[in-house]
Amino acid sequence: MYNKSFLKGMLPAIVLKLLAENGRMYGYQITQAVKELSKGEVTLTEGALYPLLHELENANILISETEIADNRLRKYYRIAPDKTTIAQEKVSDAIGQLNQFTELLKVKII
Amino acid sequence: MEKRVLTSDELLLVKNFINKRGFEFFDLQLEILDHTAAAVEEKITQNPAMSVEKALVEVHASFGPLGFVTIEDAFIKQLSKKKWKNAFQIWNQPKTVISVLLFTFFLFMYFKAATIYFPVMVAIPLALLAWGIYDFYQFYKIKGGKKFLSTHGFNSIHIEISLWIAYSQIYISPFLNKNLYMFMFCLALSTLISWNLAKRKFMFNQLFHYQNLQFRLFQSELSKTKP
Repeated sequence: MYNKSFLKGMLPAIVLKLLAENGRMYGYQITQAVKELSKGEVTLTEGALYPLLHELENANILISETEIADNRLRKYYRIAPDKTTIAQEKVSDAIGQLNQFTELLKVKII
Repeated sequence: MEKRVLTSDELLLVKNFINKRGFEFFDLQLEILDHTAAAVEEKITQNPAMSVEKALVEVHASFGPLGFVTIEDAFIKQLSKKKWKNAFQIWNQPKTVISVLLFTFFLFMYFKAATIYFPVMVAIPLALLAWGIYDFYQFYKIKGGKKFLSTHGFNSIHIEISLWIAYSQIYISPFLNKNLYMFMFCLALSTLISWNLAKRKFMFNQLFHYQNLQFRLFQSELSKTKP
């Protein structure tokens, strides 16, 4: 199981990466995609996902569209067309940070 | 394995379950309903012997001790940010600033010249009250008996009343600089009116959006029942 605070920091990058690859996704689909990709190791809770989606929507990085699916209304999220570079930057930043941490952890303690 | 999709009756069951837990606002329910229904569908697809009711209880438990509150909190936070963003956006437009200043100036000139008590102290507050009642009626009609978080806390009548009470001080207090006080009052009133106009526009847009969604859902259900 992953550290929760570590996951929180990585969450925007994970969600943006998923949306960049899949085009558009709805809330539950994102939680399931994270679960599948991490082979059940990472559980993305609703309490962490929805505030983030709303935050990214308020920042105009994501746009939402509501459609009818399976007899009900479903809200899909996707990256705003003019914000794809910002999304890519956030993902690259997260990868960069991860690499830096990996290097730090490789240092031998004398 | 073929995905099991909830029927309209089963969706109603999920909706009632959410409603019974106190989440009765239509716009909030929309956020919770799809997530919950999708989770229930997955459970009953994986285990076809499981009842929808049992799956629903398990899904609710998986939300943790706070239940749907986590989604509600996120929704309220977003709505509040949206409202404030929308309200402040109007002040970035020069036309708003110019209109408010012009309105303040003409209101001030009128109040200064007014000698008749009735129009100033009674007619204008009554007009504002009538405007509030008209909006309330319009909202009521569009809502169609449903509650919406998007229009919650719209009324600013208490601010208007406070303003008029403050304004009435001008006739009572001998210590006030009447012109300055009157100007400040006019500025506050103009600002409040433009603020309300922006809020009103935002809320009507939200309601029309949900009304449109409901209509589309209704049309989709109707098309399924047609032979």
